[in-house]
Amino acid sequence: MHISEGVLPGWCLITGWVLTSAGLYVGLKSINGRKIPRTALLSAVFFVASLIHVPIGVTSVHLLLNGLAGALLGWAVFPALFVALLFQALLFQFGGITVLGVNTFNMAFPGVVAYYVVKPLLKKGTTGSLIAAGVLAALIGVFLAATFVSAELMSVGSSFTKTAELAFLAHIPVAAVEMVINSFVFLYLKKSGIPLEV
Amino acid sequence: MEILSVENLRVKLENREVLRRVNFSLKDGEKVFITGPNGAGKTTFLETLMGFVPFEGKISFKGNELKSEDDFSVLRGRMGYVFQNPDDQLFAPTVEEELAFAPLVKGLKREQVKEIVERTLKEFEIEHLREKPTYKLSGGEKRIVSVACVVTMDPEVILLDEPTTGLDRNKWEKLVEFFERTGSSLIIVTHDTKLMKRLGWKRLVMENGELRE
Amino acid sequence: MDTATEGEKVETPLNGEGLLSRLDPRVKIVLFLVLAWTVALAGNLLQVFAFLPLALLFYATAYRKTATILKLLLFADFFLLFVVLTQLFLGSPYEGVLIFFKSTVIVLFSLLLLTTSSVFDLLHALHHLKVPNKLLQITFFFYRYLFTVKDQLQLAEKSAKSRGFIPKTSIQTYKTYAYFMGNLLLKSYFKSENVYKALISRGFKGYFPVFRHFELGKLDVIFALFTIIYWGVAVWRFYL
Repeated sequence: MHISEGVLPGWCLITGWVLTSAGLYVGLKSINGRKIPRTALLSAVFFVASLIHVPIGVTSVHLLLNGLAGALLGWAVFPALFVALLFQALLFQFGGITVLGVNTFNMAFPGVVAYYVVKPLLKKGTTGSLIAAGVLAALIGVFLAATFVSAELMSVGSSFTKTAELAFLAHIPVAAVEMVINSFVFLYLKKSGIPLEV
Repeated sequence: MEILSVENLRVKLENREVLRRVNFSLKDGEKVFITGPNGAGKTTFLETLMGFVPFEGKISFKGNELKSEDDFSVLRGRMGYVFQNPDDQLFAPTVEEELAFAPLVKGLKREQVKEIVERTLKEFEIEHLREKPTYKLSGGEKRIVSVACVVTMDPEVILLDEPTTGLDRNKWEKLVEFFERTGSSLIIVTHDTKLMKRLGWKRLVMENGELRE
Repeated sequence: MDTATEGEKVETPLNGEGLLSRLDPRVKIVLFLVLAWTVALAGNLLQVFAFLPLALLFYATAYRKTATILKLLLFADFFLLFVVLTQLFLGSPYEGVLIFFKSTVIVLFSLLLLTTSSVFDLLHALHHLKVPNKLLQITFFFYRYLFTVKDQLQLAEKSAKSRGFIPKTSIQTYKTYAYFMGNLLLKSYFKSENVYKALISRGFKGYFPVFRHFELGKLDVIFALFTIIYWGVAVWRFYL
């Protein structure tokens, strides 16, 4: 879920940019050579995949995939999602430029956390551990992002309590779907013999 | 009995008339070739039959006219389509999973799916490729798998877009034997004159968006 | 796998439209940042309304694209709708209205100042504005292959559909989507290897030579002066 322009207070927007700049600094330092086009291409994959309408019950959801992106990219998830969000803002006006810092941090930081948590599971590589990795990446990615979004909305003022609550609840179906999808993606990559850490 | 019939089919893509007034019919179990120069509309014709392209005119499957996306989505389980480029068609992690996709989507039980996959692997003599990732297959193997993964659907009609391109002698022979043997109706778009001579089926020519014998 | 459609592009919505598209993107980016941040920091409706005439003036230069602009303003952003509605009915209606106008004005600035330039011109301008080169390289490759990736997803969807796949709420459906993603990741992984090989074999050293350079014209200076004076007056009258 991307926060729109004009919602958050200035200090929140600026803090977002500061944190994202730090994340970008670490992320960009970690990639060189062949990892530059690789990060870009995977970023495009996450951009495109997040546009899929995945049916759930009578409605459909878009996926965040930040846990999965983090697990595969490590700190490079910062530049990868920054670029994807920049294009969402430019091409569709989803999110925006002043909130780009906040939105990138909301998505990418949980990705980095997911990276450290699931790394040993991916290394182990058994079916069970890959499924566990998929479930954990979804839970960490989605719920940490939801927590950030809700906390930021709360920071606007007391009138935002309901808005923040509803925003958090909207993430629950997304997490449920992503648990299944992430697990199958890890199994897929394993079966294909592609390194799980790219 | 007519399984597929097309009347006055017209397709416009990007303001160009790709198909103009195509009439066509296919009997149950009938097998035909469609040939013709590049860009004549052969692939578009197959895609239109699958319901992937907006069209004017009438397409019927077993006497029922197909109009909406819903009509086509039901039909697609019964009519298979082998892409011109196997790389575009294959998306599962391994050969086995690729073959299992269609029966799983149909909602068949695990054991049934397993049995179908085994039978098809044997039929196309690709048992050794079972667990191989599809991207690691050779060009010819990809082609065989792209046909096999449609066959596991047990379709009544199969549309094939240049299925023999890039096959070695042995795989070519295997595929041709399958074409002869199968009970499904076939529409094969091809330039392979050897194939057409060998099988001797009806030959239709697509030229400038028109189909004639 | 190079498809014939690889050259096709996804472009900015107002690329090449109206007078503002002829201005130097460097100037437009800087002015956009000044205006967007000023409106983002607004604390009351009056401060936002101070910039509405300027936003509408910009809009007038691309009035022929009114339908596109309205669509992007009203329907693109589900989150904004969600915030505004929850504020109107469950929170503070004033906040709801304030956020609606803040967002609308900022998005108008973004549409008219940023998206009237092509993506490539914007990237080029960011290069001149000292955005780190590595980040721009990623952005460039991302954009270059975005359409290819989208195309591949559509082909996989077509392949699944032609084998009877109908999306519904089921594990099988989620597994199929996961396979699409796995497939995209795999193809992109190999694609990126090829891109890299092609680059180093052409002596790529990590920066893109740019053929066309921006030149600050008279029109750019006039536009910048006008906007900055407007901004100064608005800030002086309504912010200080």
